[in-house]
Amino acid sequence: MHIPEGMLPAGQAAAWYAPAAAFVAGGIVQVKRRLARAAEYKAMLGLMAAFVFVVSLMPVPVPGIGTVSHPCGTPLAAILLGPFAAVLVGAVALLMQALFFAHGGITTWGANILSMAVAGSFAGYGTYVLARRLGLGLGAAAGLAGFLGDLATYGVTSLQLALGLHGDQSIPVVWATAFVSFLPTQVPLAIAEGLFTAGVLVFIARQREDILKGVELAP
Amino acid sequence: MAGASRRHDDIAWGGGLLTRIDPRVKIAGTVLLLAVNLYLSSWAFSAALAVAMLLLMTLGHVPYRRQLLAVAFPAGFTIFAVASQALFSGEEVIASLGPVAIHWDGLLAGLVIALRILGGALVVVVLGVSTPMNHLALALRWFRVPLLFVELLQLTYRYLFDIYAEFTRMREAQRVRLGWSNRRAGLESSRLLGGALFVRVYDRGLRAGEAMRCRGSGPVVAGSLGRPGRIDLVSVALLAEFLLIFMNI
Amino acid sequence: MTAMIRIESVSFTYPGGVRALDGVSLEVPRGCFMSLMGANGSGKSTLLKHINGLLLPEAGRVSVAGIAVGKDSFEEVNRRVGFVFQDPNDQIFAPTAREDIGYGPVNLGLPPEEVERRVEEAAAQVGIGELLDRPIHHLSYGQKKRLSIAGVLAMKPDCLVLDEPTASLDPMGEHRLMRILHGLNRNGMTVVMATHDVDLVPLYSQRVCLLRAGRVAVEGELKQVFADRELIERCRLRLPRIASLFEQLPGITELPLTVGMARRRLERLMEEDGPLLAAARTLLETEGESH
Ligand SMILES: Nc1ncnc2c1ncn2[C@@H]1O[C@H](COP(=O)(O)OP(=O)(O)O)[C@@H](O)[C@H]1O
Ligand SMILES: [Mg+2]
Repeated sequence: MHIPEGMLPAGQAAAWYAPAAAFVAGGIVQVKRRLARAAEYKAMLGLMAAFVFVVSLMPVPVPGIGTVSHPCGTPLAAILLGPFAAVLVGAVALLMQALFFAHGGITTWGANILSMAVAGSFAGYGTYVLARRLGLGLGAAAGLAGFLGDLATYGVTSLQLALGLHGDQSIPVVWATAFVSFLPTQVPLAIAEGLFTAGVLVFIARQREDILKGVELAP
Repeated sequence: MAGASRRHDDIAWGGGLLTRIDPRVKIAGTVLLLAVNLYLSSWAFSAALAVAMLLLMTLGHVPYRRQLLAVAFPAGFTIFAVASQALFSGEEVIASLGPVAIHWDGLLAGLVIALRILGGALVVVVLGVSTPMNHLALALRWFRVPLLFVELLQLTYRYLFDIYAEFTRMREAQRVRLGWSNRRAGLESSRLLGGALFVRVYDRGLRAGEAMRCRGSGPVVAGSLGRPGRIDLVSVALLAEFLLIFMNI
Repeated sequence: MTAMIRIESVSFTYPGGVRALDGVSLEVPRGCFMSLMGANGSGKSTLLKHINGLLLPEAGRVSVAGIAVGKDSFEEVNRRVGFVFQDPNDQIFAPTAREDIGYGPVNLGLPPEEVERRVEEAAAQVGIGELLDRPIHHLSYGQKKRLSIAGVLAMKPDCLVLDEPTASLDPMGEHRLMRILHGLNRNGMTVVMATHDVDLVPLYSQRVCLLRAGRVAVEGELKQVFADRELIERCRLRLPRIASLFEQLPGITELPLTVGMARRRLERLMEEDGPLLAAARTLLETEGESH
């Protein structure tokens, strides 16, 4: 759900930049702390951002519904790198998608960082940690994280659209409308994201346990 | 990325007329035009912006058919913008169906947003097709964008094409063993592909990190921007002219 | 008999504008071992990808076992064609060898027992039976290469298409791999292999197709193709080393291409006695001059 350039009114586009910048700054501070110990970690982050970018181009079939979706990859990145680093990685990927594809935009970059990178990462990460605490298995927790991470992204995006486009109507009504009108594309997307996140994480855990220990998280 | 962006980016490296404009001028101009596009929110300005960007790409010999396709991407959003305005704002009802009414003035407001999207997206496209990543990085540093962020942009760009090529080859290897011939196989293949790609990206990250440490782990932004030249003066003058015309009417 | 693979005036241009194939026509008979030779960038990989429909020609036609290669026949064609990629790392994505070999059979919709049977059989065919349950990253490059071949053999294809299968292998690994392919071919498998290894090709190939800048420079039986040294060099390849050695001898018309052929030739020369001595003398003289 990349909000395109020009979609949001000037004041709101600017306003979304503030919280987005705060989270990106948080990501920079945290990553810098890690870089102080190992400067080469930035190569790893660059590769991860490229991974997130490429994964967002992968078609994932959704069983039963009969569509194909493209995962965002942010919940996965958040589980593997931690949510703040994932925000940074997501912000990089979003800027490149805007420049390379005209997916998203410059004035809407802030809004998109907030919905895709911040909401997707934190909802995904939070769900994962919580689900693990509750005793869910790796796959189930990751699947739930992907699913809810995506829905969170979608909820924030539709709120942003509602605030920007509600006209004379009340915001909740428009929010609900936006939420419902993109529902047919977003639910399969969230399912695909969940399946993808779970599948990849289980794959990594089985094949390369060392990676799960090497990156931010130890499950 | 496959077709569109590769071309997008190839054009930027092509070194055409637009590439030769100082990236600082292009970034500042882009931000300014986009801000005015939102601030004025007028159909005339947005339409003129779209025309101007098409003209610019014509002058710069940018083959922009593909780029127009890229701009068509937000079509869903554009339709939503027009529809939501027509339904949610305005007074003058032109058609109604029970509680749902379409308003004439709302429709016009929606069309203004659609034009704003078109004009704005084309400005971003022009920046994309005219600015190689290293120019962009240097200019962003000049604008005091945090070093770490710019470095990440550079590193990501460096690896993007390799990883994409790897992704493509692995996916082809799955396809020939019929890994994408039905939905269930496709789901299983996407899991394997994502996992295997991640493992390779991770290992490559370790190797790249080691190589980086061997050479001193310095910043990954290097080089310098040339001094602005005549082409930059002309660009700034044209930009000012364009804005002045529209500020006055 | 009929052709296994028929390629008719195929042209292909990459999105960037590189014309990689320019009117290529080629027939591979059933049961043939054909080497597709050419320098880097001559279009070998591009042509191979047309055989199983990974790329579709912008002009011309391709058919495999009588099936026209196209978008709709991709699955059918790839049941017949076992395509082995150049880098085994691209092809192996499952966590263990067993799962990776099973990937194709599972996609064919075979029942688990049959999948298991095929996995064991394919692994045995390439000699990695004892590695089936090892993780992939514990395998050597040569083992991964053989694993990648087992992965397509398990689908029981009619023909194998391999892109530079010996690249990056050590001499023993190369030898072992070629013996495997040779054995498969003797049991009736059609094999098409892209390579620029001129010393290797004559040992195994029945036919050779030489590509140059996206066109077929020559196609024919092994000896026939290697008879034209100039053409081979124009294609940025060279004669096998052993042939170059014999080329310096006077009075030798048909150059031996393999060590075995050379040995038989030497034995014959020795029986005739006279010419060999003369030849040895010339060799020594030229050696002397060059020092
Ligand atoms: N994905 C691609 N995009 C653009 N050009 C390509 C691509 N792949 C190959 N080429 C070009 O096509 C030509 C033939 O390449 P290829 O078939 O890979 O040759 P070979 O396998 O004989 O080395 C080369 O000039 C190469 O640069
Ligand atoms: Mg090749």
